[in-house]
Amino acid sequence: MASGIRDKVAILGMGCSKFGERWDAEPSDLMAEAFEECIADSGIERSQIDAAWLSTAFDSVNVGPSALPLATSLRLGYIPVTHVENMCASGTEAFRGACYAVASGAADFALALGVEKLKDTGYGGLPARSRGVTNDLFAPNVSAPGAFAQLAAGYRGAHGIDRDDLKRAMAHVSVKSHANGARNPKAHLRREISHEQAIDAPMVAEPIGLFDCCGVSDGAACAIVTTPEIAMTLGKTNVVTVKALQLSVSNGEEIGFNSWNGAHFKTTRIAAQRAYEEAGIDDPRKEISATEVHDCFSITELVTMEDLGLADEGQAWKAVLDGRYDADGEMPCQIDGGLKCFGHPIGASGLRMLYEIYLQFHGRAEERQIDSMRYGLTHNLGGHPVQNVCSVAIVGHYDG
Amino acid sequence: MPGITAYGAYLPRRRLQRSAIAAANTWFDASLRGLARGERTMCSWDEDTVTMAVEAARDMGPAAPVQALFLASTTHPFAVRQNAGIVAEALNLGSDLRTMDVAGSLRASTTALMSALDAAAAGSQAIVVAADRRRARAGSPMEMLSGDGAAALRVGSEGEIATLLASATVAADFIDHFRASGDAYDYAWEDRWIRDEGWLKLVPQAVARALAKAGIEPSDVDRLIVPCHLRRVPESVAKVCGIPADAVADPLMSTVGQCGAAQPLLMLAAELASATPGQTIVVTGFGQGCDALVFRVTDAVGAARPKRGVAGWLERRVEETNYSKFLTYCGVVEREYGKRAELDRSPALTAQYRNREGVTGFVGGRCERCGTVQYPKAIYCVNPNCGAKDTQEPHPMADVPATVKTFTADHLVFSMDPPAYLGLVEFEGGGRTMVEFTEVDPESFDVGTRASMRFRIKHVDERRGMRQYFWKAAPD
Repeated sequence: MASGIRDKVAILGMGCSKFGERWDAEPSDLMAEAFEECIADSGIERSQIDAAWLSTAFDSVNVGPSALPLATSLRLGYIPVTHVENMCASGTEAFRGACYAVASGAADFALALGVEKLKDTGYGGLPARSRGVTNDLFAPNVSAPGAFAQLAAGYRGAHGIDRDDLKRAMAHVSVKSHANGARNPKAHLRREISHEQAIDAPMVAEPIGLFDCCGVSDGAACAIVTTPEIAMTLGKTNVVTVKALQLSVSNGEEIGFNSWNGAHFKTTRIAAQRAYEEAGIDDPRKEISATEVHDCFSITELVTMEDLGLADEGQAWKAVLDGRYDADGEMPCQIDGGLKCFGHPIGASGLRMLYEIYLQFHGRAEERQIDSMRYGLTHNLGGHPVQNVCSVAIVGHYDG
Repeated sequence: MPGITAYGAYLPRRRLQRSAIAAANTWFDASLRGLARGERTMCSWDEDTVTMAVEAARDMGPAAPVQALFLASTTHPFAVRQNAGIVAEALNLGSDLRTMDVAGSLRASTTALMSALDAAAAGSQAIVVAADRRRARAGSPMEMLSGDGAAALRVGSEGEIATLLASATVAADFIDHFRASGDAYDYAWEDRWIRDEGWLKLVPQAVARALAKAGIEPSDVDRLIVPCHLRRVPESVAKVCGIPADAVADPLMSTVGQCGAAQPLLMLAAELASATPGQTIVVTGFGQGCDALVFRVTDAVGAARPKRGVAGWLERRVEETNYSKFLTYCGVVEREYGKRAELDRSPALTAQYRNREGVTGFVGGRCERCGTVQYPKAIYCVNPNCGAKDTQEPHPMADVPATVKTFTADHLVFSMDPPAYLGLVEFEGGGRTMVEFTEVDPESFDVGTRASMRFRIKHVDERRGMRQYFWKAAPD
């Protein structure tokens, strides 16, 4: 049995750009904005970085291929730089690469940076793109909301939930995230919305309305990681370490084998279970203080609560309506506004989630600050409910 | 004896109301008001000659081995890339058969049928399928009078339901209408001349020749098929031929319209559904002359019923009154489709060829080890308890009933028929896949709805003139 990543890697510094429709900014501007905050926070020099990982999802409207955009934008010192892409889990993939480099001893300081420049397409929503020449022969033409709306149909059918009840719960998810986003100066969408606005918004893909969808944003986020020992040598006292870092990737069973019920994410369940074991968490509902999950759509967040074991199967919609995941609830979810309102520059999102949890552990989340943080969990999901990649990361104070 | 052994038809579900055409066009041509009765069949954006031909052939029921497939049409989507070959692959007929496009005249279908019957006399079995999606200028009589549709016949020399007694052709370069290669629209001469010199002279000549060869008196003909869009002309043809007036078959003008080369076979398919043993049927095909075929209905006629047939497809209808949508689907209007439609996408022909059995034939795999059905066919079995390698036998799934597992109506993604319905379907006996849905009625569509697979256009690449076909699920 592998020993896992627990407490082998410390987050030395983090940074995040302002998310939003950054008409003013090139991807390099976004990268520099996040990096400057991160390097200052870390207390090291740029020349000390041994290796770097760059994550993006949509190369065609973003930085283009290869690791060159990161190396040239930040004038890195001819160090190894790797470009990773794993759809919406890309940011966590970059982080995983950097963590593994440190854990292996190959690097003392590794940088993970995610960036996405989505607002150069000329239209709203995600860019339409090819899914590969063979997939294009078979795959239905579908938008992201179209793919995730299926989850609502599957969830509703599997648990016999009334259409209006589910829509109310979905609306609650979004109203909560808007309230949180309004208190986050770096968030893309900073306006509170009413329950009625969420319910009555124009339909995008039945039953997903406009306010059930996350923002499509430009932005960048990054982390510098090292070992806990080096972090302490550098004088860091409140060391935050990685407790678990898991990735689960569909093998085609959900879309091809008649067993999956369409009402949950098989990958999330597997990744979460492995992550809890790796982190030594026995009762996630008691031990996890806050979550940043992949709320690309309200229904995704709702179902994810069950897949992470934070709600009983078929009951998350009630827990949501009871306010369990609100800012003042038992276990706040998306305290920073989430993908919904902080925004979703895809390649940066996993790192943005970690950024918020990191701020929370350092007591730097200002009016969003959660009182006592034990474990923080981030969750990324790339692809569609029928076939996806899921990453789960858990961080906490170093108990070395 | 050579004859017809099975028959089928296909009519698109949408029925454009001719009153809607008139409402939009009589400001310019008041005479259209006189044609504005009834309805015509209308292809959706994802249907064409090839897709309709596939559905008509499938309507004949369980497949039987054939040695040839002829596709007759005046609107083959491809000028180069054999259209009949696409139909044959969609029907999973294998590679050991002769495939041929027959074109150039509205009697392409009857000529193809005569050739197939010649082959049947020599011991072959063949499918003759005819389909047309005719393009007409906005506000033209042809737009009013045309329909979209397809019909299919299987011919052979055993178990025939209608035996060929004789056939004859009168060949004549009679230019009632024409279209130059590369042009979009037909150009027609005056109806009165077409009627007097064409229908009322060339057709009776051909019928007389065929009946003489068959040794049958005109008065003994039970059904006469004259695929003419001009009112009362079929009756006049019967009179000139000496065939009883009550033998004249319904030209389907009030419910379908004139479906080009498909019309003679479509009318024949309609007649065979109600034919009784011993009846004599004369089929004519008109275009630069005339073909005439004389058939005798056999005792087996009741045993070869199509799945739906003309009557079944006629029942399955939805009224369309949106003339603007019709023009858009005909490609007559330059519509603003939005930036999402700009994605430049054309199939990689290498990948298309490698995957053609799965894409065109909708053939999945069935694991010999565990019996799991999966689509598409894969190297390793998808069953988590199996996972065996190279164990999958080809498993045709186009005719397997499906059930809707999840779905949505996607308003964001580009679609020619928004919102785009798509979702997960499960197949009876195993297998599931994500599909696009077509012909959805929002009121009755839900999880659990029963559906059937249909061969449709997936994507049209206007830039290169390529159209990509694939299967979609339609609610039953």
